[in-house]
This record gives sequence, C-alpha cells and structure tokens, in this order.
Amino acid sequence: MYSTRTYKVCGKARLAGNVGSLDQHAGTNQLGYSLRRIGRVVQDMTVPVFPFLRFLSDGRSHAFDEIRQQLGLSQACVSEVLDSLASAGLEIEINEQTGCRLLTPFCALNVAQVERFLGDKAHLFSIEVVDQTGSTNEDLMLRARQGAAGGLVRVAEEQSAGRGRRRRRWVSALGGTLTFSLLWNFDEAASALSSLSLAVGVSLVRSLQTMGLQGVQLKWPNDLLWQQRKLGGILIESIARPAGGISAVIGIGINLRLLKPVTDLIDQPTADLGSAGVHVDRNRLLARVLSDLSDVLGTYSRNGFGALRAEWQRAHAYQDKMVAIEMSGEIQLDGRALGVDETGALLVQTAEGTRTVHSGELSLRLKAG
Amino acid sequence: MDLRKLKKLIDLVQESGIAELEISEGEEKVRINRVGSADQAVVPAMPVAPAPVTTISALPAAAAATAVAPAPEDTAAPEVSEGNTVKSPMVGIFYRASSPGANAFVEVGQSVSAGDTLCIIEAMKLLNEIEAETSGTIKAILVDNGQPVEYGQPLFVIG
Repeated sequence: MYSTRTYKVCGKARLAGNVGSLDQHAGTNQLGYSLRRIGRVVQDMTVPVFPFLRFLSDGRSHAFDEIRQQLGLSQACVSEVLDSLASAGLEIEINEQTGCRLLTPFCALNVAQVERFLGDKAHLFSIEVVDQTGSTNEDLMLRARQGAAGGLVRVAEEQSAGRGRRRRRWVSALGGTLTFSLLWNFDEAASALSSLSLAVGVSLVRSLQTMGLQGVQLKWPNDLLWQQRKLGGILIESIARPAGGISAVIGIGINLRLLKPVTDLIDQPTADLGSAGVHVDRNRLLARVLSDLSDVLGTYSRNGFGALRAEWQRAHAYQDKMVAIEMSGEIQLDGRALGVDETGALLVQTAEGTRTVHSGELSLRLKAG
Repeated sequence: MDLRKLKKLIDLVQESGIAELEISEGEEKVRINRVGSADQAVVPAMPVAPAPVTTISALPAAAAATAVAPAPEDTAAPEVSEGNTVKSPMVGIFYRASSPGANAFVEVGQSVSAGDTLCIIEAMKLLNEIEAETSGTIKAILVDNGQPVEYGQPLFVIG
C-alpha cells in the first residue's frame, strides 16, 4: 500500500506582496487585497521554489530521486520547498514511493510563450520574467529614470514588497494572478495623460472579453469588476522624460485563481477568472493584454481619451448609481454618477449641481429604504 | 490677492508673450508689465494703498531696479521673488511623500539636485512624480500635502 499524504492549504496564505505595486495614495493596489490577519509570510526564497514548481508544472508524478538529480537538491531542501509550496496555497500529493505530483494547476510564466502568442506584435515588447521582486512598477520606474525604451514589460511570479499608502498588505495564491508592469513612453505632456488609467481599463475589458469573460465592468478610475467584485486593478506611475514627454509605468493585476483560504483573508469582495469559468494560460492572457494595450495606447495617443470614452461608458459599473467620493477618509461629495467626461474625470450630480471629480476614492452609496 | 494667484498671473503673462496685463479685483488692482524676455520673475510687491496699483514686472533681476517703481523693502515677497518655480504639470492631488508614514521627499531649506523627486501629483490613479529640473535649495513649498492643485499652479520655489 502507498502511504499518500497531500499538502493542504491549511488556512495559511502566502503573502504575495502588493501585487504589482500599490496605490500609494489611496490604499489599494491593483488587486486591492488587504489582509485582516496575516498568514505565513514567505521569506524562505533561498530555497528554489520556482525551479521546483516549474519542474512539477506538467502535473505528472515525479520521483524524489529524479527531482533531486534534476534540480540538484538535497532531501532536506526538497522538504523545505514542499512546505513552502503548501504555505503558498498549492496542493501537492506526496507519495513516499512514487514521488510527488502537483495537484493545483500551475502555468509558469515564459517569455518565449508570450512572444509566440503575441505573433507579429512581439517586436513591440521586450519581456522580462522574474520569479520574485518587490514591485514590478518600482523596478520599471528605476529603468524609466535611466531612460529605458518603451515596450519594456516586467512580469513577476510573485511580488513581495509592500509600500501601500495605508500600510495594507496583499495576498494571492502562487500562480493565481497575473501581475506585471509595462513601460510606455508618450510624447504628450502629463496633463494629457491623467485619463490613462481609464484608457487601460478599456483595453483590459476588451482583452477579457476576447478571453471569454463577459460582463467585465469598470469602476472609476482604475478597478476591474466582475459581478460587482474586484477582478483586477491598474496603477500607473509616471515621470517626465528629459527629452520631453512622459514615461508611464502601467501596473496591472488580474486575478486568475484565488483559493478559498486566501479569499477569506481579503476584506473586500473579489472575483477571479477561474470561478467565473474562464481557465486561461497566463502567458496567453498576458499576450492578449499587451496586444490590446498597444492598440488602445496608440488610439489614446493619437485621439485622446475622447475616442475611448463611449467604450468606457458601456463598461461603467456605477452609471446612474448613487456614489460617494472620499479623500483621506472623509467624504468630499455624494450624488449620482453621470459617467466620465472627455478628460476621464467623473461627473457627479450633487444637490449643488454637477461636479467634476479628478481624484478620490469612489464607493457605492446604498440608498436607505 | 494672494501670492499664488500673483504667481499664476505672472506665469500667464510670461507664457503668453503679451506685454502687459492689468486685473482689478475689488479694491485691488494688479498690473503685470513684461519687459524683455526673462526666465526669472521679479516681484516687488507694492503696499496696499487706498487706491492700490501693484506693478509686477517679469524681467531679469539686473534690470528690475530701473524698470519698476521702487518698492518698500518690508513688503517684498521672498517666496516668489527668487529662484525657479516648479509648477504642477496637471490637475490632481499634491503629495509630499511616497506614503503617509514616509518622510517628505523634500523640506524647506534642503538642497536638491536636478533629478531629485520633489513630490507626486495624483489624478485618476496616475501617480506623476515631479523631479527637480535644477539644483538648488528649496526656498518655499507653496502647497500643503494632500491638497488639490491646478494645472500650472506653483508648487516649489528652488533658489
């Protein structure tokens, strides 16, 4: 008889850093997860978690001898990696005789794959995959300061650093999100780019529809919703280029698969592609998103947000709903959301007339009675 | 009329290239007179007299003394009188630090080098980092943290 044991998630969450850089000024990162309690903080990246994971990602059973030889690991190290993966929300079946098998599907990020899916648009991008980094936005902001060319993409299996404005921390299951940043250089001045988050939102709705998810909506200015729950988010940082124009680092996070113990730790309703019935290879999704972004950002540069406004409006989650705008924890105004103007600013019909909102946190206001 | 508004008007005159602009607001009247082309604005503010006319000339410091009516020393406006003004490139919220608990990027009196981050202007989740274009000392920070700013609004004076 085989003695089989399966690593379970055990209610521990892998702390995945603030997914794709955070929103420093409003307390939500792209995915906006905040923990009520912190699970196990993964700090044991000295063990080769990702090479191991990639090796097991075929879903087949691998003998321990084979694993040790292929990856050059000691028995102790293998045990450590298994512990680490279990704490990261992955299920692994361990059998002393036949070896181990990854039960949770894991699609490793792979540059060649993304480029293959990008096809004739592959030349527009220069893609880097890293196992772990503090924040892909932060990495690309550094590169932007050094004058890097546009089209640079940095994708991370895991982001670990948190620098959220309200000291929130974020979680996701390993491999369960797509988090990346794209550096894009614009000739326009900063004032022409304030609606960029909205343009990127329009692009993401297109991508997800193409991948088979209908009903994706946008919450002003930078969240992706599905059935009123947060599916993903956008955070953009920018800096002036010495030669003129702006370098924008567009950070994007999309939930593919959040495990139950992880979602329990998140204090806002979340959605993921998996539970919406869309199972997609992350490399294919990334290629789709980049491809659509190159189109949308082109339109945006040529014609401004006005050319994308109708599409944004069609996906507007809170159209004609009662909303409140908060800033620094205080409600600034409330009223009916009328949509966005040509500059991307939110129009709110208040008792004092229509107000134009450029900043702040938007929330739905439920009518009493 | 507050300094911020004056500075805005001076910028407007400088950018537009018009020679003179006169604006009345209630009892106050301001005339901005542009002599030659200048990078630095000199603002010798006049005291508010019963029928006040404040003349502001946007011209090089060296030429200021001859072109502008003498101003009493005690009413000079040092905040905007010397150095380069860093203006907001967009409408948004002004943040002096990368996060609420973090130290401000710069303080008054601190010396900065070109390329140093001065602040962040956020609009619709676009966080735009503003860098110093010139080296110098922060002479004034004209906006409070977390306050909304307009396009072209002066944020810092670097001398």
